[in-house]
Order: sequence, then C-alpha cells, then structure tokens
Amino acid sequence: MNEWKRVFLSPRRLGLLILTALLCVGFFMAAVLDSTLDQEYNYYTNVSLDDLGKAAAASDYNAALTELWRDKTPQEIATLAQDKEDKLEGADMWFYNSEDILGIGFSSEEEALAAISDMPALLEALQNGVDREFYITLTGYYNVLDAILEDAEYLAGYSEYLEGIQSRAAIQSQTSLFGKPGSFARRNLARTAEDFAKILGVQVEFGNSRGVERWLDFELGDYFHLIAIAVIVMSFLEERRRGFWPLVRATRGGRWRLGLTRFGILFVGSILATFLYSFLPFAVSMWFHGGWGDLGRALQSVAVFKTCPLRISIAQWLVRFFAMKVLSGVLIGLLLWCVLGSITNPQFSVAVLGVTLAAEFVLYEYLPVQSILNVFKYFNIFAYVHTSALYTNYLNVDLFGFPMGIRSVALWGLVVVGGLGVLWMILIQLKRRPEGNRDHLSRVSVTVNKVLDRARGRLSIGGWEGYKTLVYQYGVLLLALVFVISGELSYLQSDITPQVDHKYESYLRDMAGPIDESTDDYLEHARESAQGNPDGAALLQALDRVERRVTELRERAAEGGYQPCVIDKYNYDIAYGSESQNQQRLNASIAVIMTAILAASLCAFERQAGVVPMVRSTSRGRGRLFRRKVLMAALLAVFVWACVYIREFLYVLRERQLASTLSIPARNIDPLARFPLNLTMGQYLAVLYALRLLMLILTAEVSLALGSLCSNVRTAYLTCAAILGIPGLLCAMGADIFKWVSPTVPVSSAELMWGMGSGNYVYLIPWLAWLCVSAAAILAMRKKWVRG
Amino acid sequence: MELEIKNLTKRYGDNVALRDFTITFEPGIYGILGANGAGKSTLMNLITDNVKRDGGSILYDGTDILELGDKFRARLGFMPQQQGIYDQMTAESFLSYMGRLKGIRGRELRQQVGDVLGLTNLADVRHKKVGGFSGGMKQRVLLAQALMGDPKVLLLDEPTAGLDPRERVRIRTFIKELSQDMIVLLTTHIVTDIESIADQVLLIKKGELLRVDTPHALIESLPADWRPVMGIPSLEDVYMYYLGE
Repeated sequence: MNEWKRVFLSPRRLGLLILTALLCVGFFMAAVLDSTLDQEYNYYTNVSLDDLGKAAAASDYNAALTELWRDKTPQEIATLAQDKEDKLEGADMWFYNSEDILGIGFSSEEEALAAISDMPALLEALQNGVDREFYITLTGYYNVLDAILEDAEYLAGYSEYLEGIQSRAAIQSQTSLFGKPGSFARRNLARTAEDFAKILGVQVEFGNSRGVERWLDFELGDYFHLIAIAVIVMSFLEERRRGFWPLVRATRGGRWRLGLTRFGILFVGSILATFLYSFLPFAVSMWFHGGWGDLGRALQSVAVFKTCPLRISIAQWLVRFFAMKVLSGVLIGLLLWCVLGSITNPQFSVAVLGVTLAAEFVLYEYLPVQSILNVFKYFNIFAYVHTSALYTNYLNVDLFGFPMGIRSVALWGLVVVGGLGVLWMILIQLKRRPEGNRDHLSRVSVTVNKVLDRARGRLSIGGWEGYKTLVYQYGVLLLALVFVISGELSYLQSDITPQVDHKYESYLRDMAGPIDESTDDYLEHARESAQGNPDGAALLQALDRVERRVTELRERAAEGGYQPCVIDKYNYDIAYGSESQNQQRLNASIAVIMTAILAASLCAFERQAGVVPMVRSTSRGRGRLFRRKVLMAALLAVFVWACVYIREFLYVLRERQLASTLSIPARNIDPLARFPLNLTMGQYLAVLYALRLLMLILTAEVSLALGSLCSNVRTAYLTCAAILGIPGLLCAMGADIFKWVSPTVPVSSAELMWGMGSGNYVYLIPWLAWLCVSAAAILAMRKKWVRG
Repeated sequence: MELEIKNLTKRYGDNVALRDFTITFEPGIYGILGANGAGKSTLMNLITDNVKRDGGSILYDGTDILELGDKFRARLGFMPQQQGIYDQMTAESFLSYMGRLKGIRGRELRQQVGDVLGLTNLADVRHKKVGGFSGGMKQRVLLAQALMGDPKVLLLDEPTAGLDPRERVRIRTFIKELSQDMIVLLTTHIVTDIESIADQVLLIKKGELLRVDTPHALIESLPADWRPVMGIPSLEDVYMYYLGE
C-alpha cells in the first residue's frame, strides 16, 4: 500500500496530474473554439474567453436543428440546411451593406430579422453592430449548417458506398490489373470486401455527432496520456536516482513482489490517465455539444467512422475504445519501464528512450501508407498513443503476402509485446542488480570526457555558466523548444473585414506617402476623372473625405513640426495596435514563460547540488559569479526575444509590406497623433522592440531571483513559470484583471506604446513598475548571494 | 600570518551557536573537537563568511575578513562537511571550474588540477563523472578543490569521513606536510586523526571554547580517575572527560 501511496499521493505527481488534466480540458476547449468559430486559431493564439459564448450559441443551434430534423431524410435535411444558409448569407450581406436590403432577398428589415430569429446570438451581434462580434458569431452558425450539409450528403450516400466496395471487389478480382491470384493485392481486395460485407445494410442515422467528432479531432490528450504514463514509470526508478536501490532490493518484498505491485500501479495509472485525458475531454465535449442522447446510433452514423467495419453502436465503440486506451497505456508503460530499467546509466537510458521514441514517431508520422514497410507505421508505439486512428482508418498491411488490418496488428502486438514486456519486467526486477552490472558505456564515456575535459579546462567563469546552463541543465533542448514554439506563434490578428468605405480607402492607398504638391495634383486629377464616371457622386463624396483627411494631417503635422504623410493605419493596427492586443499579450506571455523557465535554474542548480557554501568561499564565487549569472540570464532573454520578436518583425515587414513606410513620421497614424516623441515609424518600432528586449531581460532577472530561492531545479521551473507566466496567459485569454500581476503587458509593450500615442503618460506605469520590481529582485538576490 | 578571532558570537534564534569565541591561530594544525551541535561547523561558516556573525570580529593579519572580502577568500581553502558537488561534472572538470573560481587560469590551472588529483589519488578516475563516485572518493574531490590556489588558511570540515584507513593516513600525512606555512583548522569525529597530526586541539562545548592545548598536554591534564586502568590514555579519554555529558 505504501508504494501505491508513494506513487499516487506524492504532492508533485498529484499536482502534475491535476495540472495536466486542467490543461488538457483547457486546450480541448481552445480547440473546440477553433473548430466551431473557424478562426485561424491555434492553441497559442487568439483564444478569448469572450468567444466561448459564441461557440456555445453555435453548438446550441446545432443541437436544436439536429433534434428538429432527426426524423427527416438526408435529402430533406440538405434542403432545409441550404435554405437556412441562404438566409444567413442574406443577413451577412445586410450587415455590411444595410442600404441594399432589397437586393439580398429580403423585402423589409422585419423579414431579415425574422429569418435569423432562431439564432439569438447573431441577432444580438447584429444589433450591437460590432464587426468582430458579428463576424465570429456568423462564422459559428455558417459552420453548423456546413457540417449538417456534409452529414446529410454522407448519410445519403453511405449504403451506396458500401455496395460500391463489394461491386468494385467483384469487378477488380476478375482482372489481372489488380494482381495475380494469390498476390497481396488480390487478397487485400477480398479481405476488404469481406470486412465491409459485415456492415452491409447498417442503418446510419442523422443525429448530433459533433461532440464525438470534435473529441476525436483532439490529439493533444493522447500526448498528455503518454506523459502521465512516463511520469508513473519514472517514479518506479526513483530509488535508483536517490541511491537507495540496494536498500529496497535487500528487503523481503523488494523484488518480484514490488514488481507486481508496480504493474498494478501502472494499470491503475493507465485507467486514471484514460479518465483524465480521454474521458474528461469526451464528457466536456458531449456536454458542450448538447448531451449524450445520440450514442445508440450505428457507429458509421458519424462520418469519421466511414471506414470502420464494426457492426456496433457508438456507445459500444466507446467502451472498446476506453478499454483499448487503458491497455495501450499499460503496454507503453511496460516498454518505457523495460528500456529505462535495463540500462544502469540513467542519462544513457533516457537518451536511448528519446531516440527510440523519436524514431517511432518519425515512422508513424512520415512513413507513407503505401510503403512496403508500413507495418512499422502501425506496429508502433504511437499507434497505441493515437488509439482512435486504429478505428477511423481502414488499412490492411502486407504481412508476408497476407493482408492484416491495422487494428488486428495493434491488438496482436498488444498481446505479444505486452506478454514479452511483463516477462522482461519480471527479469529486471529479479536479475537487475544495483551494482556490478556490465557497463560497456563507461570506457566510451571516459574517452569522450577526456576530450571534453581538455576543452572545458579552458572555459572562463562566464563560459562555465553557459556550459552548465546549456549542457548540464539541458538548456540546449530548451532553446530548441523555444525556437520551435515561437515558430508556431501568430503575429497578425486574423484578417477581419473592417466596415470601410472602399472608395475612400482606395484613394488613400493610392496616395500613400508624403503629402506635398503632388498630393494636390492627384486630388485635382481624381476629381476630374470622377466627374466623368457613372459612380461619380460616390467617388466625389469619397474625395471630399480624402481632402478633409489631408487637411487634417497637414494641420496636425504643421503643429507638431513633422512631415505630413498618408499611411495605412490598418497594417500597423493588426500587428501592433489595439486590434492585436490579445495576440500581443498571448505572444508576450509565451515569451515570458520561456524566459522564466530558461533563467529559473541558473542559481537553483547550485542550490540543488549543495555547492553554494563552497562556491561562495572562493575569491570569484560571489560578485563575479553573480554578475556572470545575471549576464547569462540576460543572454537567454535575448535568445527568446530574437526567436519571438525578430521573427515577428521580419514576418510583419514581409506580410504587410511595411518597409516603405518605416521613414514616415509615426504621428501621421491617428492613434499615435500625440505620441510624446517625434519619431518615424522605423524609430517607433525600434523603441518598441528595444523595450520588449529590456522587459524580457528584466523578466529573466526576476526569474533568476525567484529560482535562487528554490532548493532544486524542478521547483524553480515550476515556481517561475507559474508566478510569471500563468497570470499572463489568463490575461491573454481574456481575464483582464491579471494584467496587473503579470509582466505580460510591459513585455508586450505594443499596447502601452500605442496608448502613449494619445499623449497619456499613465501608460509609462507598467514599464516603471516592472523596472522597480526587477531592480528590487536583483538587489535582493545580490545581497543574498554576495553578502550572505 | 595570523587569524585572530575576537569575541565571535552567533545565534540562531534563541539558540547560541557560538558565544564570545576568542582565539588566535598561527601556522599549524588545529584540531577542533566537540559534540554534534557544539558550534564547529558554525565557526567554519563564520570564517568563510557563509553565515552572518552577530558579534565579534575575525581578523586576518590585523584586518577584518569582511573588509578584505575577495582578498581573504583568495587565501582560503574550504572543504565543507556536506558532500555538495556537481554530479554531472567529471573530477577534472569540477576541479577546473573550482580553480577558475579561485582565479587560477591557463597552464597554472592545468598544473594544479593534475597535482591535486595526484595527491588525492584520483588521477585514474579524473575523466569519470563525480556523481558515480563513492562517498570516500567524493570526499577526496572536495579536499582536492580546497587545496587548489595555494591557500594560507585551510578549513577542513570532517575531511576524513568516509575514507578507508589507508586513505586517511595518506591524507593526514599530506595535511601535516602542508601545515608548515599554513593555518589548518580541522574538525572531525575521528579523534585519532587529530591526535596524530594536530599541533593544538580546541575543545568546544555548547558554543564555548573550553580549552586549547597540545594533545599531549590535554592527555596529561586528565585526572587520575579518568585514566584507563590498563593501557595509555588517549585523546578519546580527553573527549569523554571534557565533552562527554
């Protein structure tokens, strides 16, 4: 029982399980938002809690329509859905061109409102008149109707699809084009027909499939499951790391009995992981998408199971799936346990495991389905990680000329490899000894170290700090991770069609650049052209607006003493302005978390090793070492800054073609009209990026200081990421209150700089506050490290 | 060269770890004896300035060590009681790193690393990771780093703990050789180590210095009823007489 308690009730492991379960549900909801509202979201960007309501409205609409049309034929459903979609299109056009209501299929406003009366969220958005709100709500409803149309089409054609498989098999088996009798191709044809014959005549029914579909789309839960299993297996090796393996092995129950207990723990752990990372998102999905009512339908009623030849209901499949998930978890755990337990050197065992998992992942992800080696794609650890793919893909692999379904391969693998794994585990428990095992690596590692020691002997104190961070604390891997994650960030707010006067905007685009005599010539010429145009009145109206704008810019520039220019504000707004505030906050909070984690271990590493008193008793172990640590933290922040923000700058410059506008005075942009300094846009951006760099460096120093209070590296990572990162993430996800307790806003700087454009010095406060906090943290840490 | 401690006091809350501790050290070996919690390690930590003192002063050649700062630490070698060590480093790397922290560089650093590895009998395992070493080997690595940088004050907190008898004798002999132009403060529970090499022995009880004398004089000071009936009295009897409850 103690072993069970040790594994499951350890505060760290328990905390990790709870945290990952919450993250899993959080990411799942983000993915639901993504697919429901069809923005260019990914897990890191643009998710706003406000949008959850819109997604829920779309989901309710889907549930209501499904209930209403349940007894209708697919053809009737398609007609009804198409009619609804046409009306939605009308409402869409009405919102953006309200004066043309007669041209879009409505005779009056009342009729238009009645057409969307069953879409309350859209009605509200229409009345509020806010672009983004209307656009996103509308997209949600569009997606519902599109999906219903697709469902109707799928259901209408499914029996034909099944019959097609049989008739194709009959025809193709008669011709030598598809292989000789006895070949794999011929056998595969027969096998496929045989499998699908089992579900001929299956009754596919229309129903609410969205809950199951969205849940099946979510693959991240599978990785959380893998991580949880790995954490449980790592706990079995804790005695080795802590040096009391000999003690455990010397006890009466410390060998096979302990192994048996741990096997039970692995089994229960896999059940728990399946519950947390598979069942929980499933339950949330079903609840969010309208309940559990439709699980009695045939499995093939859900389009994603089109090629699954099992004659069972969705509910029966769920039972099978969760059982398979639990067993897969046990199998993966056994394999991890066997690899890690067989190698004495812990670092080498982790390296072997890393390489094995990487190779398996590459085979699983990149080996073509048609490859002759495709058995390695499905007889693969990741086939057990992504268990649902075994049911949603139909494929027979070539096993010595005989076709074998990927599900059968995985199931047989489960039995055979599982059995071997249990035997292997028993052998490890009985035969593996704490001391005296053959260590073939020792000689190799001594040779490698001999070369490395020569190089390390030349390192300065700063060089040593870098080496310790990058090599001993696996900083290189963290930096690689930073590089990859920052590549996934979005840098521009998704294009939302603004409500604009296109003629006016078009003139402004033509005139982009300095306002001088050529501007007046252009306007004069444009007026002449407009007068001969059939749309002349509207063009002249737009030109009047343009002239007013030019006069305003001239007056403002004369007052401020800079060159007046016409510049497209929108390009800057979606990258650095108020439109992109959430995007900027999210990117900043990711940058903050990455910086915090990188810098957290710089002092904690010394504390964990217990060398602080010894190091501090040397002549350079105080002030000089402290300065090198501070410098190292700053360099790590520079790396994150370069990954996130230099990448952003280059991306925005390229995507929005800003290079030609960098020399234009920033005050020409309306929100920056009263910016305290007379800067060009290039200078404005230079200040913005410099501030971001400074704020990130300060964040790294605060993380260094926080980490120095932690007694080990892992605690330092968690503490710094939680204190510095989580409030920022919450703030970026819409919980605005957290901006006051997070460095996200000063690190983002964009909204503060944009705010300073109104001449309001209040926006300086977050920068100054973070500067003060950082200075206090550095001074306190210095006092502790140098003075004692 | 002298290290003068005047009225040194250290408190941890209500507990007085060291009280009005006064002594002057000159080159030689000083064995410090005391029960657990007597204040031996606190004394070491105060001399290394790893712990803030509550009163008194520590003067090195007449100047307070806090004033000397890095200059004093450049003359200091410290081997702590806890086996704090970077497990990921090889013995040679660890010594190179500690050497850099002591301001040694280039050829001199390589030379000293080689020398101390030889002295502590670790040359054969210099390229192996310290994390895989036995307790005794780690102890020798820590002693090796303390010896680097030609220290004038060497503080050894339990240097022979975990060493086998042959290694203990080797290290003892080596420390004895070093002590001619160096102040060596040595704490240990192995009384025979002190008996064989210490020029002076400090007896500390509950943070107070009870006696300082040569081992011979301390043994001689034992009252008759504390001398063994058979055999020769030793420093262990002194320990039991002065420090035993």
